[in-house]
Amino acid sequence: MILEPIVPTVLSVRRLPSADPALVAAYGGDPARHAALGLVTCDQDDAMYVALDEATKHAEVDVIFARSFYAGSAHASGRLSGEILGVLAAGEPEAIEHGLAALLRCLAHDACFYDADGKRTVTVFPHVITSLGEYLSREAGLAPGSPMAYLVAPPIEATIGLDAALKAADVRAVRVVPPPTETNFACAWLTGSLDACEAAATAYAAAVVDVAMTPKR
Amino acid sequence: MSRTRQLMTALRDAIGSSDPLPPVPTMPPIPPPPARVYSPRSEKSTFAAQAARHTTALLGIGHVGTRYATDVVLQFQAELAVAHAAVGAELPAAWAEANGFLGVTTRVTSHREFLLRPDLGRRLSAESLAVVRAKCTKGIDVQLIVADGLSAVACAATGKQLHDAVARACGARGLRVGTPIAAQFARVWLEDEIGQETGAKVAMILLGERPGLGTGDGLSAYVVYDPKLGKTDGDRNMISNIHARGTPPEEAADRLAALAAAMIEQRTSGVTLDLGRLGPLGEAAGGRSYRAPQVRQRLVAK
Repeated sequence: MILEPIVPTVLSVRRLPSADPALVAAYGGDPARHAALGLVTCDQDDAMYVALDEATKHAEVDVIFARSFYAGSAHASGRLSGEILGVLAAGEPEAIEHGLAALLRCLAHDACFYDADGKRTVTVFPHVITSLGEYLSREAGLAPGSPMAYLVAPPIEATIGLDAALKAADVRAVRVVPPPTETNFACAWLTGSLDACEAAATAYAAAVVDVAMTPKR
Repeated sequence: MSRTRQLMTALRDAIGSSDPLPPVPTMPPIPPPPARVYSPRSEKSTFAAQAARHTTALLGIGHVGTRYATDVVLQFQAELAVAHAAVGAELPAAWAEANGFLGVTTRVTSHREFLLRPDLGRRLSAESLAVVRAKCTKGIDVQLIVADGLSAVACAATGKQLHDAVARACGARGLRVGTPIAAQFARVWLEDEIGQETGAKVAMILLGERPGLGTGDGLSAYVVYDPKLGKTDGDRNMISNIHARGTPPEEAADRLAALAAAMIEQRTSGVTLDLGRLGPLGEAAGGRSYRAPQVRQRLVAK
């Protein structure tokens, strides 16, 4: 069935209640403020980015590290590597617990790729963030709380889809990452009103499905 | 539910790719119907086997699957054919004269009419009535009549033999026997008119009985005291199944002579006749004592 959710698999969840300051500094944190860490790997990088942002909305945590791995989860370096390592940092382990709970809830019930051709050989990530958290708003250069469409698809599908999304509603491209990325997908962040973001995401998904079904036309 | 999942569900519905029904499960291959060969199962019940020894009814015949065995079906069809043939047969035209009988006919004019009109078969035709009045001995004890009834086959086969045996047995008991008569297209009650005309004390008609399964050659004998038109079946005594596998003609002749003698002695017949006073022969002639079962005739190979 097309557009069926492909729920991400959380591969590992570990805490470091009192991480070494050298480690924190190396991963981009501030040793003065960040003592406790929460580390998660998952097989869907874009769902993880959204989930990390979700965590910042629920707890006093910072996303100090989030990097996709090369070539995606199908070519991971190990059983637990997946496609991304995300690191939450906070002063107290308790904040990490709250952040991880929100992160895992988002991965289980909200952010996920969708099957674009019924065979899971083409997938699409047409996610609408109704209210940006601290992490992605900083990354996108938008005010926290503004809506954003987080659109990911394979190269040709993403290109066609982005064109359709930009034409479907009154949205603005915040960031466009042409292929290849680390995982060889292509990415686009669009913003506008919430309705416009939803219309753009829907048009994006419809275009990706259309390309997946009729690749030559 | 997340907003994005709602959007994707709506988009899926708009594209028309929702699956309202679950996918059709793959069915295992259906094997062709079994080409089974059923072997006949004989009846295991000892009760049925014992019961079958006392009757010609179809007991303990076993089965093949849900059906009769082939030999049982063939036997049934053969027995039915025997019965049909017996009903459809007619006495040869000159049979009566060739066997020393006085031939008479009833008011029936054809075999088909005989089967359809039992009432016509109970009365003598005008010519035959004149013949009986002219040629028969009057004032006798027993008037014997041989007739075809519903089985001309039986009459032609053992009618003469039974008649002669009965005549001898009656003679041995000192009973005077009248002129032997053979009637064509005759029913049982014809003996009333003939006995009335000849003035016999007892009229006895020996005729082919209605064929059953496999018994197309059975004779019955009906005996009535003081025969006259209007006698009913309650006034008659009878012996049936007179053939080789039932009651043999010689044995039946003794019983019939005993019956006739008892009727003349008691001056009655039918339900009012006291068979208990006849002794063992009387019991055999109509009592309720045990009779040996008939043997079923095998018409097809098993």
